[in-house]
Amino acid sequence: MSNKSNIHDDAIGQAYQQQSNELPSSALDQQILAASRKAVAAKPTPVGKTRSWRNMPFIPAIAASFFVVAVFWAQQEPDNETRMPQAEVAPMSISAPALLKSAAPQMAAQSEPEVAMLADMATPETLSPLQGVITQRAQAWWLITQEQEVLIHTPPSNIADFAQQPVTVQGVLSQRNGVTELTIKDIKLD
Amino acid sequence: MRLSNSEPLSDEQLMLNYGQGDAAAFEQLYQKHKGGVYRYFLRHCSRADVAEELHHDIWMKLINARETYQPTAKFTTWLYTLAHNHLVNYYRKNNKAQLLDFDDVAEPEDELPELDKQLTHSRQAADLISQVESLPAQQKEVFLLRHEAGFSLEEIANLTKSSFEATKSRLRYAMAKLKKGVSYEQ
Repeated sequence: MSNKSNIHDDAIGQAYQQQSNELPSSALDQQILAASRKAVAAKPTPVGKTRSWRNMPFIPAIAASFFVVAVFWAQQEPDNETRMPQAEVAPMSISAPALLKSAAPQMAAQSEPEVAMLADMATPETLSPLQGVITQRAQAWWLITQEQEVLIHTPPSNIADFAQQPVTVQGVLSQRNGVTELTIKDIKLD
Repeated sequence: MRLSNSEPLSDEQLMLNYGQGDAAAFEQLYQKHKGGVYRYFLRHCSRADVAEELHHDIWMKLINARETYQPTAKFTTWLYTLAHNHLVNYYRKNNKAQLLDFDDVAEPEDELPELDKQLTHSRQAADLISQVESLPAQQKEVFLLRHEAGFSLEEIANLTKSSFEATKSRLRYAMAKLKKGVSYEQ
């Protein structure tokens, strides 16, 4: 283009810019500016900055809560070293001494006298029903099963009603001074 | 850098600040460029309601892109590229894509009148706007990017994905038509 035409182009451009002054409505301006403010207000986290633990103060609080609960739970839990092993449910064919031995396996590694002494001090265990016959000997009541004879400890007042009859007994079996004792919880005629 | 600094911030920095949550930075950008963007659409569509709709769309796009904005180019290049692409889509939706076809006929330069004196008259200047609006779409595009947004021919070529020579020709044809049109209004 020639210099003459360049001058003309500038004149056209200037004239256009002087006259071209329309603007969007103020309502549209407000709508757009409100949207721009809402967009950043909805998500105030700066872009490009990584999340920091300082921006999430609730995380340490949650961790502290978990720690407190864990400590409380650990205190409620019996220590494995002090907990007595759970006794197996004794089948009818297993004698009380054998049951006591199985209930305390650590005893097996000990000498026989120690086992006997420990057996005498054994904690009573709940057993499954025993079947046998109720018999009275020397002012004491006994349950005679196929495998053993069990001394009935503190017999119920109606024990005489079951004398010499086959019964099923539920109760707590224990070993004391070499004698197997039974504390009856329930007794039924067969 | 924040707006509390008395030193004026570049458009690119303002956009980055807006992306980091500074709503005042966006307002500065908007006040600075709202007129050019609005008139860019208004001249193309010749309807205020359509221009406002397109104008709104563009600024919403900009708001939504605040977090991903990277100043790899001038802010205005990015802004008017969004506007240009949105306008192309608008033409396509309205089956006016043919308006973007290049359909110029060259005007002989030696017929150009002495417009620098003629345009001092207000009526002629007002007529100039209607002449701009009646330009073919691609010539109008180049003219508006040159005189509303202030881009160089090279920037316009990049923005419209055209060659420099084609862009230069479009502007020359546009100016020629405007000069001729205004001279006929006398």
